[in-house]
Amino acid sequence: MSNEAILEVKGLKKFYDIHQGWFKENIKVKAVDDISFRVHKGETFGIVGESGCGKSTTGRTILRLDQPTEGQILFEGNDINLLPYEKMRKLRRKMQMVFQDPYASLNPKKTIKQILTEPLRVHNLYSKKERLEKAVEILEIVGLSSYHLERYPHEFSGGQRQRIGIAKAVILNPELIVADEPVSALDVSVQSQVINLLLQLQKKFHLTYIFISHDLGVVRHITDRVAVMYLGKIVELAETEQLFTDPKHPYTKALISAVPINHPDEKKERIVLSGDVPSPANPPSGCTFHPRCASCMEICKREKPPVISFDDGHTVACHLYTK
Amino acid sequence: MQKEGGAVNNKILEVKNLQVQFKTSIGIVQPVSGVDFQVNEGETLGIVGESGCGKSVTSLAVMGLLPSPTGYIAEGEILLEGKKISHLNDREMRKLRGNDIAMIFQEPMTSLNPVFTIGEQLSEPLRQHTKLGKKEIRQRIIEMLKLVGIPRSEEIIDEYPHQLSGGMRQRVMISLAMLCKPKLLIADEPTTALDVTIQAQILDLMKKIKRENQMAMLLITHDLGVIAETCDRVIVMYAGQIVENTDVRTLFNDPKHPYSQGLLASLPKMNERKQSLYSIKGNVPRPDEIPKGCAFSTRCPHVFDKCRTERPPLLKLNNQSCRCWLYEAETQEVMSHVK
Repeated sequence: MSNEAILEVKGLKKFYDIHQGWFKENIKVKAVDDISFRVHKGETFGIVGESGCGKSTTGRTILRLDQPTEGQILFEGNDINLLPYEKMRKLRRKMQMVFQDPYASLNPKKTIKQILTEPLRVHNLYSKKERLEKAVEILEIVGLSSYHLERYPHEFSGGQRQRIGIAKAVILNPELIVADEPVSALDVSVQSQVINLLLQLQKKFHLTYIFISHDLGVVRHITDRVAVMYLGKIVELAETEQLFTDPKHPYTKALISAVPINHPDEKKERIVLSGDVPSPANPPSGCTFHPRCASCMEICKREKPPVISFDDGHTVACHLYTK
Repeated sequence: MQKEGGAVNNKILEVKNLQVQFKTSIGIVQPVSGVDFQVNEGETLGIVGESGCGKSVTSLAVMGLLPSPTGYIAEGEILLEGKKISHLNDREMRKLRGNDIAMIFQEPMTSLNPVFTIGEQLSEPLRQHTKLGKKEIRQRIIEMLKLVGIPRSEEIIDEYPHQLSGGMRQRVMISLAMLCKPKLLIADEPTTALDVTIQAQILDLMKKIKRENQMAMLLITHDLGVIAETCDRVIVMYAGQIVENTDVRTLFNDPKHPYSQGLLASLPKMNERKQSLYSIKGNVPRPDEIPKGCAFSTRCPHVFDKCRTERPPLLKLNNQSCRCWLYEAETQEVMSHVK
C-alpha cells in the first residue's frame, strides 16, 4: 500500500433544504458538515456510523451522484465538481459504486447480459463480441457462470444478486469502488462469501475501496483505516486496529462497546448511550455529541471541538484532548 | 436437557412436531417440517437461522397469525401451559393474543398504525382484555411508557408514530406487548432494524423486563451476538427443521452440527483480519429445492453417502441434540421428540 492519495476530500458539506411552506424559512439539514479525509491507493477506507450520520451521503457526493454544497473532492488530483458533465461521465469509469440493496439496484427488466454489458456500451469500449466475452469472464470471477447470462435479476438469490452488482462495478476495471453497506442485507453465511469476494477482487485488480457500513465486525475485518461519523462530522479517524483497541472519542468508545458480545461468557464493560441521535436539522450547539456524552464539560456545550492529531494519523475531534 | 441456573422448570410453551404448509401456485410448500421445542418460565429461548429457515413462520404459528387460508398447521400441536392452542378459532385466539402471548415485530414503523396516536393504540389491548375505565387505562399506559424508558410519556401518549425515532417506536412496541403482562413474549428480530447503540439499549430493556416479570421469551434472530447476549437456550434452524438444540454456552463452545459450526466460524470476529473468512458454500435452498436426505447435505463439508439418501433424526448427545449422521455412533438413543 502506498501513501499516494487516490482521493482527497476537503471541507465537504452537503446540506439539504426542507421546504416548510411559502412564508416560512426552509430548514437546512446538515447531512454532511465539513469533513476532510484522504484515501490512499490500494487501501480499504471504512466509514462507520449510525443511520442518519451522513455516511451514505458522503459516498454519493464522492461519485457526484449528489452535488456537494461546499468543499472539494479531488480524484487523482482533479476536482470532480469542476468537471463538465461529459468528462465526469468518462471519469466514472474509474469510480464505481456497489449499493446496499441488491433487490433494488438491478433493473428487473434487463437480463444479466444486458446489465453487465451496459457499462461497457455506455463507455464505448470493445466490440459487441468482446463485451460479451468480458461479461462472461467477470461472471466467472464473481462465482457465477455463463449460463446465467440470459436470466433476469428476480431469478437470483440475494447473495447472487450482490455478486452481479459487484460484477457490474468491476467490469469497467475501476480504481475506486464505493461500497455502501454491500453486505448488510445478506444472511450470515452469504455475507462471508461476499466479503471474501471483495477481498479477492481487491487483490486481483488492485482496487481501492471506500467501505461504508454500520456493522463494526465487518468493518474491523476488512478495512485498513476507519472514519467514525456522527451527525455529519468525522469524530475520529484512525488505523482500524488502533481504533478498535484504543478508541479516543467517547462516541467511538460507546459504539464499540455496544457491539453484541461474541460469546455468552464474555463480560463487556458497556457504555449505554442515553437518548437517540439528534435530528441533523437541528443539531446541538458546540460539540454535537455533548447531550449524550458521559464526559461532557462546560466547553463542549459552547464550542465546536478542534481536530487533534495523535501519532500514525489518528485524529479525534474532542475537547477532552485539547491542550 | 440441562437447565440454566435460576430458571424454574415450568413449561410455558410446548411445540410438538409442528408442520406448517402453504398453498402456492406451484403446489404445497412446507416451510416448517417437524419442529419440537419448549420454553420454560423465566427462560429465554433463541431461534437462529437464515432467511427462509422457517423461524418466523414458527412464531406466527404460535401466535395463530398464519395467513389464512393459504397457510395452515398441517400437523402437530402447540400447547400454552398445557392447554392446546393450535386449533382454537379466531375468537378464542383473540383472548390469548396480547394477553397471554404477545409479540414484538422487527419493523416498528410498519407494525404501528400511522393514523392513531400512541395512546389510542396502546389502549386497545387493555380495552380488549381488562375492564378498566378510560382514566385508569391512560394511567396504566403512562406508567408502562415510563417503565420502558420513554421520556415525557405524558406528551408522547398523544403523539403519532411518525413523531418518534426508531428506538422510541420499538420501545412503544415493547410497552404494547407488556401491557397485559403476558406469560410468553415472542420477539421476532426486535433489534435488526435498529442501530448498534440503540440495539444495546433495547436488549438491556428486554432483559430487565423479562427478569422482573419472570416471563418466558422466544427470541428470533439471525444475529449470533444477540443470542450470546440474551438467551439461555438456543435452537438452530435450517430449512424448516431444528438442526441443533442446546444451551447457549454449549452452542458457542462446542457446536456439533456442521451448519452451526459454519455459522459461528463465518463471523468476522472469529477470523484473522483481512484474511478470507470461513464460508459455507452455496445458498440456502428454497423450500422446493430441499434435497431428499439431510437438508444441509448439499452444503456440508462432511457429507457422506448416507446423508444424501436418508434424513437424519434429531440425535440426543450429552449436552445437546443435533440432527446429523456424524454423531450416530455417539448417541445412546434416537429421539424423534425433544424432551
